[in-house]
Order: sequence, then C-alpha cells, then structure tokens
Amino acid sequence: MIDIHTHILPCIDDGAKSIEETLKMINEAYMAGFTEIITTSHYIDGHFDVNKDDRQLLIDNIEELISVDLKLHNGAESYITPNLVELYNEGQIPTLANSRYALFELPMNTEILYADSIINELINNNYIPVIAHPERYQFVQKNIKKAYDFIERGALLQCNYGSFIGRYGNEAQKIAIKLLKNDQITFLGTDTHRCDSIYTKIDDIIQKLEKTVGIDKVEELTVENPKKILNNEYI
Amino acid sequence: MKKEIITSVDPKSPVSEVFRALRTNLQYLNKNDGVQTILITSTMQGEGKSFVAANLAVTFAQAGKDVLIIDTDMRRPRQNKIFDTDLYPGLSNFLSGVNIYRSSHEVKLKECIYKTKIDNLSLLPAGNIPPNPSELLQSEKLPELIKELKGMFDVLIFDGAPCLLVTDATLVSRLVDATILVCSQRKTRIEELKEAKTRIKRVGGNIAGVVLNRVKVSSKKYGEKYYYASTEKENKSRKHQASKRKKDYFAYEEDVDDDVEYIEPKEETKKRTTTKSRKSEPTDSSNSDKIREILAEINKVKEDNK
Repeated sequence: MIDIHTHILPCIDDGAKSIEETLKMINEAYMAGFTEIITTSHYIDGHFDVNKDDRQLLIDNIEELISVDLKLHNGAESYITPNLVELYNEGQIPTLANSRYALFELPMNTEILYADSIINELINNNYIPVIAHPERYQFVQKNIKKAYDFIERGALLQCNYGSFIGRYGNEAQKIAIKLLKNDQITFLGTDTHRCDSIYTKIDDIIQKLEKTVGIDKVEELTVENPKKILNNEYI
Repeated sequence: MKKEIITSVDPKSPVSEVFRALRTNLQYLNKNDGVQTILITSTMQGEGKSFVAANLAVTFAQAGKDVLIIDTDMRRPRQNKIFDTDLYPGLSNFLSGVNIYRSSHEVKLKECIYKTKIDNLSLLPAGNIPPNPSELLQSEKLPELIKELKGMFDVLIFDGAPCLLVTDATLVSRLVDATILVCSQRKTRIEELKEAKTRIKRVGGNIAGVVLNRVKVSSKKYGEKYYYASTEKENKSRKHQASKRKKDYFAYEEDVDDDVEYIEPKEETKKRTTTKSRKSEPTDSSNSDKIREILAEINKVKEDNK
C-alpha cells in the first residue's frame, strides 16, 4: 500500500516531534503494510513554510536511517491561500511525489469564498487538485453537495482511514462512508501525526472497507490510484 | 501581550483558522489591487470589534505584511491595552496637533506609531481622549494621514467606534476600501445590523461582510461509538455521473498530452537528476537554522547506529 498523506517528517509542522518518532512511525507504517509514503507536512504560509528543497534534504537524510523496505517521497499538504498556485509554480511547495497532483486542505470550521477559483487555477496550470479529508470540514458535514461540487470542478477527494472508525467524530464518519459508497473517493491517506495511533488500526479499517465496497475497490484506493501519483499518470 | 491575541499561538487552532480564512477571503475580494485599508466596527459596544481587529491584524502580519492598527475609537480606546503600548501621543494628538504634556512641541507622526511585540505589526493608538472625536475624524488631516500611512504600510486596520452609538466609524468608513461589521450571536439585533449597513452605505462606504462573533461551539465527542452503515443502496446514478464526468474531463486532458508525448520521459529524467545531485545544505530561507538543527539530530542517530 501507499500512504499519500502523512506528517512524519520531524519538527517542521505539528506532526512528528523528533527524529525518533519519525522512525517509529515509519516502522509502524511498514508493519501496517505500507511500502511507500508520501510525506505531506503542512505548508501554511508564515507558519509551517519549509520549502520543497529543504524537505527533500530531510527525506534524503532520513532514508539513510530506515531499516525496513520502505521508500519516502516529497510532498506537502498545503493550506488554501490566494497565491497557492504561485507557491506551487515557484517550487516553494512540493506537489505529491513531484507529480502533477497537488494536495491541499481547507479550514475545518469556516468556509473559504475562493475555493472554486483555486481549483480552476490549479487545473489551468496543469495540476490535479486533491482535496484533503473533505469529510472533516464542517461545511461538507452540513451539506455533502459541497464535496460533489469539488469533483464536478475537477478536484479529486482524499479521505482519511481514521474517518471510517469515527476518529474525527460521528459526522465525519457518516460523510466518509457516504462518499465511499458513492464512489467519490479517489485516495485514502492516514494523515498520521503521531506514533502509536492510526497505523496500528489499519488492518481493522481495511477489513471494514472491504466488507463495504469489496476487495477490488479497496485495492484501487490504497494501491492503484496512489501508484498513479507516483508515476505521474492520470486517473 | 494580552491573551486576546489568540492567533499568535497555534496556527492550527480553530480560531486561527477562522482569522486566516477572514484574511484570505478579504485578500481575494480584490485580488489585483488588494484591500489595503479595512475598518472594523459594530453596531453596539461589546460585540468584539477590537478583538477581531487585533487578531485580523496579527494574521496579516504573520503573512508577511507590514501592518498598522489605527485605533479610531477615541472614546473607549482598547488597542493600546491589547498590545501593551502607551495610549498617547496617538491619533487624537496628531489630528488636533495638541500634545498635552509637551504643548510647545509639534506632534510628529513617527512619535505616534508604536512597534508591538509581534513582527511586522505597529499600532497608532487613539491618543488622549478628546472632547470632540467626531470633529477630529472629519478634519482634512485624516484623509491626508491615511494617504501617508498607505505609503508606509501594506495594510491598515482601523478599529472604529460602534456605528450606531456615534458617527465616528461611519466617517471613517468612506475613507477605507472595505468595512467589516462585527456582530455577536444572540446579542446583535438584526434591525440594528441593517441600520448600521444603511448608515455606512449612505456615506459611500463599502461593506465587505459581517463577522459573527461569540458563536457557541459544541465540543464534539471524539472516539464515539463505532458506527457503520449496513447495506444502504448505492446511489448508482450519481456514482456513474461523477465518474463519467471525471473520465470525460481527463480524457480530454490525455488527448492533449498525446501530442506532446516526449514531455513525459523528459520529466522522468529531470526527476532522476535532481535526486542524483543531492544537496547537503539547507536553502537560504527563514527556516535554514531549524533545518540545520533537525539535520544535527538525524546525524546524532546516524552516529549512534554505527
């Protein structure tokens, strides 16, 4: 499996707090069945703004310490901002594994008026917008159509594994299951921030997902579609 | 620093998110020119306008903008308390030319601008409480002052007096790019909000929107009982529509790509060369010290492993 949403790089966002924790998370990921991880530490202008090259430098150094057979890729979960496309174009924010896929998030508890413009702008600049965990946004929980609208505009949705076991509350769980059943999710990611958390529950979650949408669909969400990111192919 | 400056602590906290959204929504309103001057006011007192003005200013400053807060609420000045600066000399002293402690001395603008403890953020406090705030705000010196300050700062945030109590804020609203009305859940009356809007529109002010403050947030329970829907029928039509639209959309993209097929291998080789020419030093940025520290930690582990 390939995890496309992780906060395992140490000390550059609110994810792993030390290199020891990073390595622990990598081992957990491997035990959970992941062989490749895209590191997607937050990019929030003015707060968590470590650039693409520095992230790569950290990844290169960390890879020398990995004892298991697992590969890391560069990436970011960027936070929506009016100049998002510029930041990608300038190479400040990395796309997912240096592909055309751009993972970004929206605020949890309020609505952004220019989200649609950003999606259009990304597409016009040959990026494929991937929206992180739509099920966690309050405005989607109030009206799931907002998530459908993103798809219509050409964005893809990435849901969190944890959402399916209620990690982010009841509402997020309901939305995630609905999106799953409607075949509106393209990717799953762990969004892991700490060790001893989501990676230990992956087995159970996968079993539940397979019961709901079948083994092939789960394979698509966890392996095939993420592979297309790594190969920079269209879905 | 007062605890009211909540946006400076945790960038992922819900309240930081709200102010960041407010800031970027405002920036997007006028993408080309950018909104440079923003007035924050309310209908009545105690709805949280000073709190909103201060935190909005902080989020602009955090985004790298040079920001000045101008406290035009000369009757009940608050910003000097929030940011822990002197109250005077300030706006009233500059506009009236009167400095009560140094009467022989002309009030210079520079003396009235205070640096706050937050990077990129300065404050022009209200000054001594004058007998005639409305008159001062109507003086010709104010538009001149704003023009001058616009040349010195990227963003000016005006904290205005409640606009139903006095005309002060309405006077300022015609001089700024955008006005925001702060109202308080279960407190602000809708008729009063409409009245405030009418007054500002009447003088040619431009209302960007309303901020609803003091919203009760339900503390959601996490790790709620496991829930999984049973065999609910799939919404086939929507499913197919969505995936068809997706396919149609990307089918077109793929056609375009076919013409320039050689681009793909090129990108591949580029990727390979970048991994080959590994850098060992962080890039020159505000984060370079932090990156060096993390690398040192990584190297320590490398040494231990040997």
